[in-house]
Amino acid sequence: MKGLTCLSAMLVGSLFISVPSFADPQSDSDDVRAFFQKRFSNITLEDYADGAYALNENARMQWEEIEEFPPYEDAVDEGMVLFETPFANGKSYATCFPNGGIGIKQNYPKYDTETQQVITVEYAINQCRTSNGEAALPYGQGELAYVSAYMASTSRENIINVVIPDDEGALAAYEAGKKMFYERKGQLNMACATCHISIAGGQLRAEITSPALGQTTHFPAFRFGWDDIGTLQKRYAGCNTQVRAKPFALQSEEYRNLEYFHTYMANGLPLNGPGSRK
Amino acid sequence: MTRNKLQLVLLLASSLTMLTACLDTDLTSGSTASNEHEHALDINTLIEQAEQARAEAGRLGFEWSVTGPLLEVAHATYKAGNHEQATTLFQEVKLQSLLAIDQARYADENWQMLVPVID
Ligand code: HEC
Repeated sequence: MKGLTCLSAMLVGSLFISVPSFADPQSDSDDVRAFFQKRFSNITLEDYADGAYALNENARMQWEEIEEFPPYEDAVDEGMVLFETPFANGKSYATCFPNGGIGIKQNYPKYDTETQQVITVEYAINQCRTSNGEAALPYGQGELAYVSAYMASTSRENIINVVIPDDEGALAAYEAGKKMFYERKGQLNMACATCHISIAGGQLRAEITSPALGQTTHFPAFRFGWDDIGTLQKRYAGCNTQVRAKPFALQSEEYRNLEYFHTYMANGLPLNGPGSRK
Repeated sequence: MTRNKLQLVLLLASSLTMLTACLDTDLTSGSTASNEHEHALDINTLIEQAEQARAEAGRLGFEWSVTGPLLEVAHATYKAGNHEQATTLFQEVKLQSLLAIDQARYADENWQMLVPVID
């Protein structure tokens, strides 16, 4: 009898252990922060907004020099013009966003409980266009990235505040993004987490890999490799391709979920986009 | 010569004969009509398998970026009539895709391994 009780206790116990623990975004984020705090004990939370430049004095000095004449300035100016130019129907981007689209980037990505999906700023920009009879724009670079860069510039210094509502779909989207971040893929069999958590701060070829925490704060960003401003998801696709994994379409459900997870992690950090990176 | 040594020599000789016989058939039976038909069937089956595996890897979100371009080269090589090389390429496409499918399975079970643990 005692044996049976033990057995059923073990069975019930294992039920609790083996059922995948329900997503707890806050404790995920706490764990990642604690991990990095231990590894890079000499930098503050805000420093993570500077990516790899927070970790290397030399690279940081070069970067600060570049930022004196920001290579993204033209893009922001052009973005402002595009943002303020009315659509053919007389409406404009401002009519599609809360607060006329100014100073709101810290709240994105959002989960839309009605359509059950994650909405990023870029996705919302194209939604705004198509619902007003304009053609959708490419998501990686070009006009859409400029509009996004302008919107980011009006949100500088605002504190990232991504909300995950108590909604099954929202938690599932977050969890899917989290899984994508941690799963190994591509011919090189590496996960985002391999480079941006496990070996973050290490040197990979000529580059120092930045910590996952704070990677989203400064996008869209000017990269010299792109010779233009590009969106966060363009970078996702680039990193997927680096490990020879076929990238997803920009603003696919997969990448929007990834951005949801990735940006939530940076809650509490100030936005500092657009930025520039090597 | 001892009995053992004799046995060994006989054994070697007979294996050599058998080996030559095998090589012979391989060399002589290369291009009969029925064989060509079989070969054609084989490569078609292989192409189908390679494409199916690739589609499945893609459906799982684990396709490698190098696989699609390789498949294009394989098709072009096949069209150009170089069936032997095309076979090798389609086999590689299939293998890469099967590995990607395995990766997806592995990820489903083990993705949490890279989540940082605080001790
Ligand atoms: C093979 C290693 C590797 C993998 C795997 C990898 N990255 Fe990267 N990533 C890099 C390197 C190198 C850079 C450029 C240096 C830096 O800023 O980290 C970079 C840059 C980035 C940046 C820009 C950081 C900044 O400050 O501008 C983001 C965002 C990013 N990666 C996200 C991801 C995501 C998401 C994944 C998974 C889909 C991923 N990376 C997978 C190596 C990798």
